[in-house]
This record gives sequence, C-alpha cells and structure tokens, in this order.
Amino acid sequence: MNKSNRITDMLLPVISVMFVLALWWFASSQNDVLAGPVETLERFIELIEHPKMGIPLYVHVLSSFYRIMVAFIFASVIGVSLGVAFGVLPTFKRIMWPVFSILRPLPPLAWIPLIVLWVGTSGDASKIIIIFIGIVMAVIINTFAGISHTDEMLLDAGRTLGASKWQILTDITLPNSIPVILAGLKTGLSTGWMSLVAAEMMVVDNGIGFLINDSMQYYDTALDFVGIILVALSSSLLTLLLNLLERRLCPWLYLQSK
Amino acid sequence: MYREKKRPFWQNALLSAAGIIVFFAIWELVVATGMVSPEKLVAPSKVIYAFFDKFHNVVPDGNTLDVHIITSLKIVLAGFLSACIIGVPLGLAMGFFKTCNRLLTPVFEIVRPIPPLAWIPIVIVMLGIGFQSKVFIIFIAAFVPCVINSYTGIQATPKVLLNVARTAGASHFEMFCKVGVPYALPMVFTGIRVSFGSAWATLVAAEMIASSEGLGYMIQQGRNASKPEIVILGMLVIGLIGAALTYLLGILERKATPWRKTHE
Repeated sequence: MNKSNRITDMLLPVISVMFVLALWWFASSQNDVLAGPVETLERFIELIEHPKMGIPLYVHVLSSFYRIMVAFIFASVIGVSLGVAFGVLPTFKRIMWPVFSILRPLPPLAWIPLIVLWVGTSGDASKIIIIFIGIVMAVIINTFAGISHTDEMLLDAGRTLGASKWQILTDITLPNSIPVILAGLKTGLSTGWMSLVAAEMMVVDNGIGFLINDSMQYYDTALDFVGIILVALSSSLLTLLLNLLERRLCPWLYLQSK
Repeated sequence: MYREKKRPFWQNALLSAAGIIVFFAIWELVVATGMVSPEKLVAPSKVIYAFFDKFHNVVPDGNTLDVHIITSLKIVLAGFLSACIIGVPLGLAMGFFKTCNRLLTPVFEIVRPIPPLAWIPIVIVMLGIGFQSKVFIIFIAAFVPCVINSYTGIQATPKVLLNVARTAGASHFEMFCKVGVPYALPMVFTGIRVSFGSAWATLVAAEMIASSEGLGYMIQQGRNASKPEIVILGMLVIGLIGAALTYLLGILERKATPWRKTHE
C-alpha cells in the first residue's frame, strides 16, 4: 500500500464521522426541539455542574453498571450451566427444551408487567431480573450450540485416550466452545442494555435509563443524547472488556488470523 | 456430541410432551392451591379462556385480539423489511469494498450500541407519534444484525475463490456479485432471521409510543387494569407468533441456500 492510500484510509473515517455530526447539526437547526451536538455538550457540562435530583452523573452511570453487572453475572452462571446441561444430558434436553422454546421467544420487555406484579417496582430486584432475562437467553443458546458442535475428531481422540465423560467436558468441549459462549455473552449484553433502559423506566431515581426516560417526559432531547452517548460508551467498554477476555482465554483464535 | 442413546421416536415425543405438561400442571397447581395470589399469576386455563374471549371482548383495551395482532404485524413487517432492504446491501458493500468499509463502519459503530428504546424521544420529535415512528424503532432494532451478518459473511470469502475469479478476468464488481454475495448468502439469511427476532422483541418498546392498538399496547393496558391474564395472553401470543415466523424464515433459508450443511 503506498503512502497516499494510507492517508485516505485515515481520512475516510474522519470524514464520515464529521458528516454524521454535520447532519445531526443540520437536523437540529431545522427543528426547535431537537438538540444539536453543541447543546448536547452544554447539557453534559451542565449535568456535571448541576446534578439532576442532586445525584452526580457518575452515580447514574455506576448504578446502571451495578444493575447490569449483577444481572450479567447471574445470567452467565445460570446460562452457561443450563446450556451445558442441554448439551450433555439428552434426556434433560428432551424434557426441558420444549418448555425453553416457549419461554425463549418472549421479548424481555414483555416480561416487565409480570415482573412488576411479582416483585413490585421499588428496589433493584425487578430491574435486575428484567436485565437478566434479556441476557440469559442468548447465553443458553450459544453455550448449547458451542457444546453440541464440538469437532467429532477431538471427541474421538479424547475417548481413545481414555478420557472420562467429565474430562471430555472440562478438557475438550468447554474450552472448545469458549468463543461461541463469549459471542453469546456479547449478544446478551447488548440486549441487556436495551432491557436496562426499559427497566429503569420503572420507579427509579438513578441510572442512565432514568435520564433517558426523564428526557422523554420533558422533551429534553439534549439530555436524551447525553444518555444515548453514555449507554453507547458503557456498552462499548463492556464489549471491549469481553474482547480482551477472549484474547486471554482463547489465544489460538488470534494466532490463526495473524 | 455425546451421542444420544437410540430411543424409539414415541419415547422422545413422550418425554417432550411430558416436559410441557408438567410445566403447565405445576403452573396450574401453584395457582389453584393458592401458593401464589391470583392477582400475581393466573392459571393457564384462565389464559386459554381469555384467548378465546379476547376475540370478541374489547375490555380493557378497546380492541379485539385480531386487531391487535394485525396492527403489530404491520408495524414489525414494515420495519423489518425496510431494515433488510437497506441493511443487507449496506453490510455486503461494507464487507467487500474497502472505501465503503472505511467510510461507513465508523458511523455504524457509533449507531450500533444505542438501544432502540433510547431513540424514542428523538423519533417522537422528528417523526411524531404515528405509524412511522414505531416503524423506525423496529427498523433500528432489525438493522444492526442485518448489517453485521452480511458484513461478516462476505468478509469470510476465501481468497482462493477471489483469485480464481480474478484470474478468469472478472472485474471487481463481478467478483462482488458472483463470488462474494453467493458466498455470504447463508450468513445473510442467518442475519435476517436474527434481525426478525430483534424486530419482534422490540415491538413492546415501539408500542410504548402513543398507541391505541397492538399487542404491546394490550400488555400495557392489561397491566394498568391489573388483569394478569391479559398480560400473560399478550406475552404468549407475541412468543408464539414470533416463534412461528422465525420457523418460517428458517424454512425459507434452507430452500434458498440448499448447498448449506444442515446443522440443526
């Protein structure tokens, strides 16, 4: 690749992002209610200086992080165990899969009214359960897919060397399905963030979803953009962490592609 | 993997049926014995009754079930189809042409992590509270998986195939149409199926925008009127229609790409 090419390669992304910002700015100048990039930045600074409801901005972000992390940990433990159980216990799968197939297509948001009836709106429990539902389905599906698509040759090799069923699981199938499981965790997380925004529409006074919901009631679109940017950044951060984890857990993936 | 013991077909069917029957039996029993108060959960038998009743009973949301279903289907299909029509070619182009990739990927990466729900305030300001804004919310949800899968699919085109085409004198655009796109097709279809799933799952969110009909609206109203049977009925109808349409898309996928290994 020659030098002029490399410069265009660097310029093109900058141009496109600038173009989006310009488009945003133009749209906001045509519409009185819609906030532009400058207003959003101003709103952001204002939020830091004069916190909403007396709660500093970072507390909103941290409380959302807390809810999503608790839900994420529960969802990964339960999701991976159920996925493994579906993969290694044919009878369990026969019995439980149909029930799972009924529950799986239910959108996490559709659970909200029911969860509210069950555990009420106050406290973190209802929100965490809704985020949990958002994350866990993708984890179960991907773990199951990873476990059941293990290369037959690897399994045969393990059996020939006299590995027990447990050893095959811990030494062959599980490590082999880590990438697929991690992909499930990533998909789950993005559903999780969506569920978070929905869950924090219930009675709460903190969280990024609260900010977004508040913006909806007062047509404060600048606040909405602040919320959107915070969600986007936080969700990218968590995805980045999972990518780093993937690099640590399965270095072989990165050896091949290089 | 763990090879399943050969069991006669009827035994497998029996096990699956048993799972569902036990699930509903426990549910029915929990309510019948009063372990859970009837305000929080209703028995499945009552939900089935509500299902048949809802076809002519307009309480509490002012419409019958079939009206809700048709309204929701219209919104979801409009959003989903436009997402496919725009998202698939975009993803393919981003994955194949370097300039498109450099130009569009940063924008896409900015838009991607924004949850569809967070768009609602902006959409209301820009498009109002009608049909369009609901369709837009669905579009956003369905768009992302369409692009990602088409992009990954075409990027995985083996270099060998491309080199063969180039040796045979194909232009860059011909290589895109005759090698890249067919190679990516199975992934594209997976993306379409996934994107239908997220379109359908976002329905409830989209119908939070001033609605007067639709399944998501029905659930909201059922909750406001504290009628758990309407809430559960709404959930089950959404789940069933979603599952049925995903299944249909799966069949379409197998018909359209017969060379693909069936792995399900």
